[in-house]
Amino acid sequence: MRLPLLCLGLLLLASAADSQMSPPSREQAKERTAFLLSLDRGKLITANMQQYQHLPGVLAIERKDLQETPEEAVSRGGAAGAQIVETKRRLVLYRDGQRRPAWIERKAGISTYPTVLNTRTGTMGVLTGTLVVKPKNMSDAASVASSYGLEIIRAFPHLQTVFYRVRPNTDIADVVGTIQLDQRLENAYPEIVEHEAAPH
Amino acid sequence: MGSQFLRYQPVVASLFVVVLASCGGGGGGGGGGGAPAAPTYTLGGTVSGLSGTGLVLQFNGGNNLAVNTSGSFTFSTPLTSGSVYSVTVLTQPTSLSQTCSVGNGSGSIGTANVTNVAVNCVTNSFSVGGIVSGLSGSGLVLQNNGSGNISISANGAFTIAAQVLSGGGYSVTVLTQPTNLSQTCAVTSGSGTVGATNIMNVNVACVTNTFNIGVTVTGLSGVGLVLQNNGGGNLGISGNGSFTFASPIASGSGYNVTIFTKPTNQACNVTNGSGTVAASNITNVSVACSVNSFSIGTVADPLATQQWHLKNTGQTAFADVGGVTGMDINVDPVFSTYGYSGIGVTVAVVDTGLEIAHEDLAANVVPGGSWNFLNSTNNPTSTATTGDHGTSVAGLIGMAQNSVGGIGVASKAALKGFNFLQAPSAPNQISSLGGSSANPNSSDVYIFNQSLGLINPTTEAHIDPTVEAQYSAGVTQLRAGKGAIYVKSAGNDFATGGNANFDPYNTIPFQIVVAATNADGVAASYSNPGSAIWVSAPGGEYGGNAAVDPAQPPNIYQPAMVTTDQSGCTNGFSRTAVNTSAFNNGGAPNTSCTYTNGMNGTSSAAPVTSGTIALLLEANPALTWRDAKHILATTARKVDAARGAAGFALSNGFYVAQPAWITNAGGHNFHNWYGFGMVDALAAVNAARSYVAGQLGAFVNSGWISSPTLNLPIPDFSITGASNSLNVASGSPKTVEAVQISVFAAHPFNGDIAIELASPSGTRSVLKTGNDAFTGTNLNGMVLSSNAYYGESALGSWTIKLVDVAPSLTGTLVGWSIRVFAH
Repeated sequence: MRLPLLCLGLLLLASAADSQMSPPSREQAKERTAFLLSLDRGKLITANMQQYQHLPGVLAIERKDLQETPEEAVSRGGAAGAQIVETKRRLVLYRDGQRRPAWIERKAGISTYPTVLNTRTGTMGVLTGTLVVKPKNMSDAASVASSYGLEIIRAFPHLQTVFYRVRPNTDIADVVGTIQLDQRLENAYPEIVEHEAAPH
Repeated sequence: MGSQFLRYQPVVASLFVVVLASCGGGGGGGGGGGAPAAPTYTLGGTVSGLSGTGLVLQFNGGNNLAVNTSGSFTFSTPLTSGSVYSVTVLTQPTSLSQTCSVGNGSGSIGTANVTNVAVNCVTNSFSVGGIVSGLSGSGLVLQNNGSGNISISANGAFTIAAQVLSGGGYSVTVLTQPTNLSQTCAVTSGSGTVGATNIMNVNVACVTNTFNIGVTVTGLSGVGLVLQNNGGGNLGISGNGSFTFASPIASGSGYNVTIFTKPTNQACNVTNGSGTVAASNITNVSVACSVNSFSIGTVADPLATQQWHLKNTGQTAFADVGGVTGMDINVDPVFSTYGYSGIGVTVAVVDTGLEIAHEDLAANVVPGGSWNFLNSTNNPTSTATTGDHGTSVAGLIGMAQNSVGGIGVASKAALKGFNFLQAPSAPNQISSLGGSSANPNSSDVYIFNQSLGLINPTTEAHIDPTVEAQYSAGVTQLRAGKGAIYVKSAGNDFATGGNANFDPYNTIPFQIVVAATNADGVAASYSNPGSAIWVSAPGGEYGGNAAVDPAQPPNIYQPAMVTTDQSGCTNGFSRTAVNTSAFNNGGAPNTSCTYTNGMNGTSSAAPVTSGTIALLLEANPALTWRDAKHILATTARKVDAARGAAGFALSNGFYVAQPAWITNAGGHNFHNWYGFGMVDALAAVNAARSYVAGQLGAFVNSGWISSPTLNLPIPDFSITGASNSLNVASGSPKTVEAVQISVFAAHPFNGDIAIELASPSGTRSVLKTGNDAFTGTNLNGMVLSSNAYYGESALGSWTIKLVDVAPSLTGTLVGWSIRVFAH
């Protein structure tokens, strides 16, 4: 719908009237780089040919709906006053000064999610607790679930893929590290939301 | 034994004659010794008319005389004078059958030989007849030997009056076949030679004739016409011309040609469709079809005339200012000429929701066909209070022709809604894109409209390989192998340096990525540029009213899109709490707040394109997904033709980051703002109607061809750039359909980097302009695509160039790969 009219930033294009404008602020980028360097790093995770590191000090919570503000969401999650790091549409990333394992924590029906950092691009992502697994044989789907205490979300035989859910309070980084060595599988990786699709 | 006796019987008879002869005879013969023998005399006469064989005469009950020919005969036994004689026929001739009668056959012997016995033979005649069966009609006339006509009116025995002499031939034929009913009677055992009996075995079998029912079809432009005769015998009609039902109809039976299935978007009338078959094929049945045509000016939907994207007359669409006449998708002639409206085409709205009971959508919503991922029901109606994007998207595709609201580009397309954006996850995305046959069933969808994407990504993003696999599966497996068509919005981040290439889901060749134009026919103020764009379509500006929302930039008051909104004035984009336009505020004619005049974005351009594709698939259902892309590309309208190049002044020259329109070596126009141009529905439909589906051949790709690690320094703030070439070898596919590159670069600030690629034909495309939205560090295999090389040769050297468009920070081109999709 009505799109926000964003202020036009620094003009770098020679033909300004015909061209895109508003390049990003390098200062903001520098600040972000410095911020990322300040974050504690945890376990390494490989997914989709990218390297990530768990950010033990940063959590994510899902907004109830898009009317809920990030602050309201964080407050609902019991972390009122926490520093909001980033918002990815429904997902609000924040830090409250505590370090946590890379697991999904569920309290009073509210889930908080671990976050990761793409070590090369500097993009933060949210571990949703979903594992994307391609078994060599789809008939192994149940036994794979049993081996790692996973719950099958949905299987797509035509893609030879099974989506599993890691149970709360189970370290996702540990499960990923183990399951990626499983000889029954062609590959496995965790779903990491770096960017969330939205209407446009 | 019997036969032996017969064989020797003539010999015995001969001896008998000899013995008799030795005992005297002959007229007046003298005696021998002793008393003179009484004179004897012979008895004979003449046989006339003898043709047959086997005549045996006798006299006095014996003295048999076989006679073989006409002429004189004499019994061998002499008689004495005074002997009484009586000549009779012992055996009549056979073969030929004759009857011989004796004249002067009796008397007594006088004193002379009797020679006047007259045997006159006459040949017998016999009747010819037989049995008639199967006769239902009237008028059957038989004849024998070309005459002796006999009319037969019923089954059973018949006899031809004129008899045939024994030995004569007979040939029974049908002089006149039955009519009313028309029958064909065939004669068997109908000819031969008459012997000694009547012919009674001629067989005349009659069969009722059948005749074809032919139909002449005219005016047909749609597909799916099926005719029936007498409620069956379905006859599919593929085009205009003459057609014949497979099952003929018997003479005397009725025929009744009806329309079993109407052609898409046409009405057909049958004339001379029923009657009774007489004695000839039925050739005068005609089916005349005509288009259910309509036009923006004739539909009863009151908002249609404000839908400038369908027919731009300069109307304001309830905004303050109007656009430029003619800057639309040229679809009204499609409506008025062909009447296409998307019949038979299912379009999925993969979005935030779909108000399935909306007054202007419900008629086209597939019952039970949608899915709500939040509550696992078939009703994805949104509970949002501030508007449901999917409902507005759906209206642009398929608002119904129903006297309320407006109309969609494909006003009779079937709609499904999958609210993936309410629960975005890879499984839900796959389920929404054709990977699921139940809960939801997306596998029967023809077109997936995705007015969605990543919002202004500032760092490199990667496609989920499993979702990418679903796109690949969708184009190869859905629509019975013709492939589903995936339409996706390019994004709305122009003002913040966005680029369609920054959303990795725009970079796969399975998508049709759509940019937006406004009512002036130029790029909408927000529309992402990018070489990944395929076409552009109306998306509008903001539709505002200064009286309601004053002091805004001019484009706020330019037309947006008029489409469906959540029903009611307490929610939706139009509601009493909204102050963007009078229309959106519940003003007339939108007093029920059921529509909006503020929909915009590439979110609008995509469904306008999806609707157009629905028309193409109605016009030619055989089109593959690539055919549809090809037709869109080759019929798109070059808009904003005077748009000049733009770029940056660097230390050693001017870098063109946004080229003007180009014409590539394949002959196609391309611009990063518009792709191949703005969708032209009429041109596309006309092309589709005569397009031979599948003519592009096999879709193959070169596989990723990679450079070694390069670590080439990128000269800072210089147009020189860092270049490297990769070769696509001759064994690869030849004609480009899409090109992807994957780039590895080391740089502390990605916004400085521009990336361009030159084809073997020398076509230059800028895939990332630099001074854009990117803020992250390093490119780690970022995939970008360009459609600028469509139709060019894939073979040869492709050259990448990375240019650092801003001073101070520097970096290197670490390496890159290229993958060419082609045929």
